[in-house]
Amino acid sequence: MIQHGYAGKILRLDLTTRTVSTIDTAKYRRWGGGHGLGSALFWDLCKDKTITDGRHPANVCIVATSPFCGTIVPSGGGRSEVVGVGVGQDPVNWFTRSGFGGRFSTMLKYAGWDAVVIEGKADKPVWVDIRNRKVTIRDASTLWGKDTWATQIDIWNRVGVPRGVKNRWKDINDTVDDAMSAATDQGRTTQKPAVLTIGPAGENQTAGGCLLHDAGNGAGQGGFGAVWGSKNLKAISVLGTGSITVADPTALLKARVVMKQKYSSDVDRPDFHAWTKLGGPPKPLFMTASPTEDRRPQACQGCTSGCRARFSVGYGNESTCQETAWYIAAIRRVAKSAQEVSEVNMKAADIVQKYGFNSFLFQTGLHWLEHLHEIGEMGPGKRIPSSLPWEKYGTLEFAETLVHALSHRQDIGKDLAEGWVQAARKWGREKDLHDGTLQFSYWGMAEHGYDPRAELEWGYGSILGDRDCNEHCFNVIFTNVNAAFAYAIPMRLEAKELVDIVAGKLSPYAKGRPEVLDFGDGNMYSEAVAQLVRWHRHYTRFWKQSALLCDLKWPEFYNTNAPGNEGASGSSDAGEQVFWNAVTGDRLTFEDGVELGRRIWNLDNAIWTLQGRHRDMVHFAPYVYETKYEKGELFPFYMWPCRDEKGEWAYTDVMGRALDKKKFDQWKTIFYGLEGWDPKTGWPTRKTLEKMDMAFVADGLQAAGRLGAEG
Amino acid sequence: MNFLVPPSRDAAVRMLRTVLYADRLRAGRMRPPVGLIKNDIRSLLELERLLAPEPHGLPGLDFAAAAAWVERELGDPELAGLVRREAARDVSYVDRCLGIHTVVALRLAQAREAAGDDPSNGKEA
Repeated sequence: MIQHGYAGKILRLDLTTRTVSTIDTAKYRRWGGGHGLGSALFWDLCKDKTITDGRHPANVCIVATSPFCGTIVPSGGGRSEVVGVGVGQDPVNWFTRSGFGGRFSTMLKYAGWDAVVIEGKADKPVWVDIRNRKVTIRDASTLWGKDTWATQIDIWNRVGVPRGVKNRWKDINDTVDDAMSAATDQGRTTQKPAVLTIGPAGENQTAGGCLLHDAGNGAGQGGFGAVWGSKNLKAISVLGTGSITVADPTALLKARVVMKQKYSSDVDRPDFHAWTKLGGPPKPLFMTASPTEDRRPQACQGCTSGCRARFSVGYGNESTCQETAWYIAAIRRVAKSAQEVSEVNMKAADIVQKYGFNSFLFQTGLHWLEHLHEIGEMGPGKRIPSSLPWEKYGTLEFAETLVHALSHRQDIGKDLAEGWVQAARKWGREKDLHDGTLQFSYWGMAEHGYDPRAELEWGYGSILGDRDCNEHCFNVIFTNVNAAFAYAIPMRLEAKELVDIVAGKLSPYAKGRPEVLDFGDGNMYSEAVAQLVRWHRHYTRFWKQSALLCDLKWPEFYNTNAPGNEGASGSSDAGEQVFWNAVTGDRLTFEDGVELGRRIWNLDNAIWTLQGRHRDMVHFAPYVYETKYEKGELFPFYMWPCRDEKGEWAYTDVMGRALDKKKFDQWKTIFYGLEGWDPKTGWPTRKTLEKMDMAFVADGLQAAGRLGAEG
Repeated sequence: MNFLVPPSRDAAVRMLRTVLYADRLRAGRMRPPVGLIKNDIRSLLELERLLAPEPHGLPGLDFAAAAAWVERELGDPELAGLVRREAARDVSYVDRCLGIHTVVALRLAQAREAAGDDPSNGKEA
């Protein structure tokens, strides 16, 4: 039977025995793809789900695609999801996730695979060479020690067309069995393989270890580079020449055209200030001025956005977003010109890419290190011994020295390799977690830029999950509204209109309930906010992390390009479910997708429960409760739609407050109750699981003595 | 009108110093989609660079705190007064940032000249 949108097979690698086997995707079809597929595979294949260190040989890491990968679904065709037990979190390395863009997932599907399961541990460094259905585990002794770029070039030379050689056709099928489909796959290509690799940070099993693909696609959070390093897995290369069947190509094309004509900016009269996620013109997301205007847009496969760029100057290529921000404040201190700020900044982005290091740790962490140095805690002969050249802080030389040390477990990198909060405790700096000097808000991970004391759904969702959620569903409200306030330009949508439109999209739990968006002081521990957080958790678990729609583009609640300012999400002409059904042939509703997300979220919570989670552990870093988010700390205001005492909606500043630990704890009880979980423990119950056809999960929890009590 | 009495060399040196981390001015930048990013200020030069217009974000600054910091840490009540004046203008937040940037940039140039600092060098005297 054809499974439209799927390649049909899952690749299973046992690195201990160096054997390769396959699983039929059909067995896991109910989980959709991506994260859901990964969580289900982890549940079935990880023999010891009590492990709390991703470097344990029993850990199972899965890289998964979705039916959208390799298709023209807008901002949905090129992402991959990674799951497994992570590294560097505190107090427990949870079963966690990360994701990355590019062309790896599409190439994997064109090679005939919906996911790769990585089990065991090789006795020596290996890399995996996938050419359609032909899979070889190869010796990586000459790759080990290379950075992420040198590794990819080396593999491209071995598998694809060597650099500098004129493109030529390459036959990669030795036999007809290697083909994904004998009818449609001739096994010929001019492409270079898509390579996912680790750099030194991963090889040395540090918390900052990433998975890197091409120039600027990284799975950063979760420390999956360290997971691969522990398994002696240097890289996976994939070259595919097959294709993916789409159930209803006409419907897919029609929805794509609707997206362009109805929701996107008019290319002849672009509205650069439109309030839209999907409909804006392509725009690179680097965080300083462009080093040159001589550039080309670069996007994940199938994406309409092009949030990356390739520059003629030869550096900073494809780096985007956070990695182009990690060093700016330091550079500004010493650079001689704005041009130099851009140049050093983009080269600093290149450095973290090459080492395969998660620059997100520096988001708030770099300031903390500087502080420790300056107060005399860190340095030569100091309590925290270090010979980092802080006198060169802000230069490219310092950036590389720092990233090198942290990637090689040298200097302070020895302690930071296990996690930054762990290092703070080891260094006797517990107080920094209380006064906010070290702002690692959730599970030992750096605060993102949307402070949990202001933007509740981000904070609550992160701590109820497994990591900084990094889900930009609602904070486009912050961006749109605060930019309009800053420039004193008219709001495209007033508060009442905005919350009504957004609430109209929050089916099933919060549809038509705009009060769920009220983050005012009087509503921040309410049942309404709990419903919003539920929706956010469930929506993202399926539509974003399993269907693999891009986080920066979906969901789209409002769109001032479109009639009635209604965004594409959930719409009958270009909603998420329209694309899903066109590709797969399913008859899924938008709400069905949210419900699938609820199942996946429950499965994840079951895994966390087996790992040892209890509701008493579900708390923010102390500073979130003990210090206020002061006005001017990062910005002078944080405007958000709230109701006043008369119930009228207005954009209101939600800065200047801390979270109340006791009230947050009580709010968790509301949340657990709505989820059907045991409020005393936060564990899933049999009744809840069985209603979702997940009795097998209940059985697993019961066998471990960790099934939630029925209410 | 932006008028600042050129500082003496000693005053200029103080204006151009880098203060201790503990005495920094808390500030940030709005850089969507990353969010609000810490960008603390420890010198007049850094304040000027934070406020300088750029296409990919907005400075995040509490104007009252900035004026107080300029007066307290840089010993420059005159500049602090102009910062307060610009902050009180009935214009947008962004325009107030631009106004403050203008007076900060003026003072930076004056201080560099008085201190004999090379304006092409980002480092303080």
